[in-house]
Amino acid sequence: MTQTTAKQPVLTVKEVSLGKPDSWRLQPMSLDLNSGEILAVCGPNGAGKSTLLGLLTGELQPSSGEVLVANRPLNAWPAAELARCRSRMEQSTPLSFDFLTQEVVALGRYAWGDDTADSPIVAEAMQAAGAYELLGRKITRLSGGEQQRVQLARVLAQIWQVPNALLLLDEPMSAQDLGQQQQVLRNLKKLVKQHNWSLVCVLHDLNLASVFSDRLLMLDKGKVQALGKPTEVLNLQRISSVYKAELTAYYHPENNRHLVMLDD
Amino acid sequence: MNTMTWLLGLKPATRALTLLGSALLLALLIASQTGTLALGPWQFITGGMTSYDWQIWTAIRLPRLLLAMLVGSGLALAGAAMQGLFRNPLADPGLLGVSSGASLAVGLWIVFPVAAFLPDAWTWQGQMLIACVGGWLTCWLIFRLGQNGQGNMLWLLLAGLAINTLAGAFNGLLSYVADDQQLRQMSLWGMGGLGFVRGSELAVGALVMLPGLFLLLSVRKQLDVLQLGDLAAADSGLDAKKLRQKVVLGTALTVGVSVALAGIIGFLGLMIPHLLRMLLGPGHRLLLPASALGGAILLLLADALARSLAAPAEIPVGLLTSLIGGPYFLWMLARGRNRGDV
Repeated sequence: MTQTTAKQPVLTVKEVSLGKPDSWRLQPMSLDLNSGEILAVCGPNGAGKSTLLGLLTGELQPSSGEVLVANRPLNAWPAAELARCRSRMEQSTPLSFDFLTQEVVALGRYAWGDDTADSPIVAEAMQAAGAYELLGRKITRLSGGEQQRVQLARVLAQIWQVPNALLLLDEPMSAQDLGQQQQVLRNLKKLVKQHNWSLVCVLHDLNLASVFSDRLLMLDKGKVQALGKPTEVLNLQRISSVYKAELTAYYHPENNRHLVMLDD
Repeated sequence: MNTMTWLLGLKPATRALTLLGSALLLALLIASQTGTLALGPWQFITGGMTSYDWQIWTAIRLPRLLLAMLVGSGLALAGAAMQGLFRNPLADPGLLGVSSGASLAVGLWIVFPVAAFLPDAWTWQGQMLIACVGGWLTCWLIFRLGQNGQGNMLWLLLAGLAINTLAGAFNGLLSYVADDQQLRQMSLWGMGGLGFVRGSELAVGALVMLPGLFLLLSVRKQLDVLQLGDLAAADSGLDAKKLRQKVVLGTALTVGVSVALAGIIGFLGLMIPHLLRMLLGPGHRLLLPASALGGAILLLLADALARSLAAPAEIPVGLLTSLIGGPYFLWMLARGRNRGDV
C-alpha cells in the first residue's frame, strides 16, 4: 500500500451555495480539507449541517460554486470510483428486511465486488465501529444505538484501508452512550491518522466536537459563523448567540479548555 | 460419502438451491404423470409408451409442464424483485395491478382490431407483446406515483387496488362492446389456465420471457444494496435509476408473457418469496434464484392438482392459487400486525 505522508487536499469547497439570496439553505462558503484532518460541523437544528453534507456527496446540486474531491469536480467522478474513496453515513438508515448485521456491513463493499459477509474486512470494520458483538444478530431487532454502530461499520468497510479517503458522518454518535462515544471516536481518530483519511463529522455535542476534531465549523441559519480550531471557535458569546442558550463557561486549567454548561 | 453429509458440507446457498432443484425435478415427475392421461414415470423412462401416448404427451402434456415452470418462475421472480424494489414484502404483480394492467391491454387488443392488417397467425404474438407493454406501463405508473409514497405499504396497496378496480371496470366495458366471437375469445383467455397453449406460442413466450428472467436475476446483488435506501445506495456506488429501469422492464416482460399465455394467476409472486425469505433470509442473491425455482415447483403442483381434483374436468389453476394465496395473505397481514411491522 502506498501511503503518502505529505498533506494533500482531499476536499475542496469553492464558493458553494444552495438556494437564492433571500432564502438561502446554505450561503456561499469555501472550505479546504487535507488528508488526515478531522472537521467537526456544529450548529443548532436546521442550521444547514445535513445540507452541507448533501452538497459534499453530490446528493444535492449546488446553486453556485463547485465541490472537488481529490482535485476533481464531484460531477466528473464515476459513481463506483467515487464510492471507493468516499463514504457517508446518514442520520438514519431504516431497513425493512431482517438482514444479519454482517450482511448489512458487507453491503458497504458493493463498489469493490468483494461483498460477502464472511470477508475479514467486514469483521475488522465491525470491530472498529464497536459493533463486533452484534455479529449474527438481525438488524431489525437491534436498538437504535446498535443499528447506528452497524451502519458506521458499513461506511467504514466501504473505504477500508484506502489511503486519503473521505469520510462523511452525520451525527454518528447521536444514539450512543458515553462509553461507546469515547471508544468509537478513539477508534475513528486512529483510523483517520493511520490511513490519512479526511473526516467531516456532524456532531451535536460541542464537548465531543472539541475533544475530537482538528477544526470546527459552526453553522447557523445556513451561514458559516466560524471556522477554525475548536478552542477558537467555541467561545461563550458565540455559543450562546448561536444556540440562544444561557450558558456559563468554566476554564479547565489542566487541559487548557473551556467547559460550557447550561445555566439552570 | 453419503448424500446427507455431502449436502451438509455445501455452502448454505448452494445447499438451498440444490434442494430446490431436486424438488423441482420431483414436482416435474409428479406433474408429468398426473391428469386424464395417467402415465407412470417408469413407463416414461423405460419407453413403455405407445406412439399414441407419446403424441399426447409431447403435444399436450409437455408444453403444459414447460408453461407451468415458465409462468411460475416468472411470477415468483417478478414478485421477489418488486418486493426488493419497493422495499416492501407485500409488493406483488397481482396486488399492485401489473397483471390487470397487462390483461386490460390484452382485452383492448382483442376488442379493437387495430391489428387487423396483421395476418391471423400473428395476432397472438401481438397479444403477448401488448400484454408486456400494458404491464410495463402499469409498473412504471405505480413507480412514478409511488415516489411520494416511498414504498409505504398502505399507499402501494391502495394504488394497486385502484388500478385493479379500474382495469376490471374497463375490461367489463370492453365485454359490452365486444361481438360474440371476441367475447368468447376474451372469456376463454380470462379464465386463466395452462391448458390452452400450443408449442409454437410457448416457444415465442419463452423467447420473450427468458431475457426478462435473466434481467431480474442479474440485479440480485444491487437489490440488496437498494435496501439501504436510495441515498445510501447511491453513496455506495449503485445506480438506482438504472436498477429501477431494469426491474420494471424485467417485471413487465415476465408478467406480460405470463398474463398473455395463462391469464391472471394470483398470489404466487407474494407467497413464494415470503415463504422462502422466512427459510433462507432476506438476501436477494439467494432469494431471487430460489424464488424462480420455488414458483416453478408450486405452479407445477398446483396445475397437477387442478387437473386431477375434478378429473376429467379441470379447475382453472388461477382459482386454485387464489384459494391458497388469499388466506395466506390474510395470515401474513395478521402476523405482521402482531409483530408491529405492517
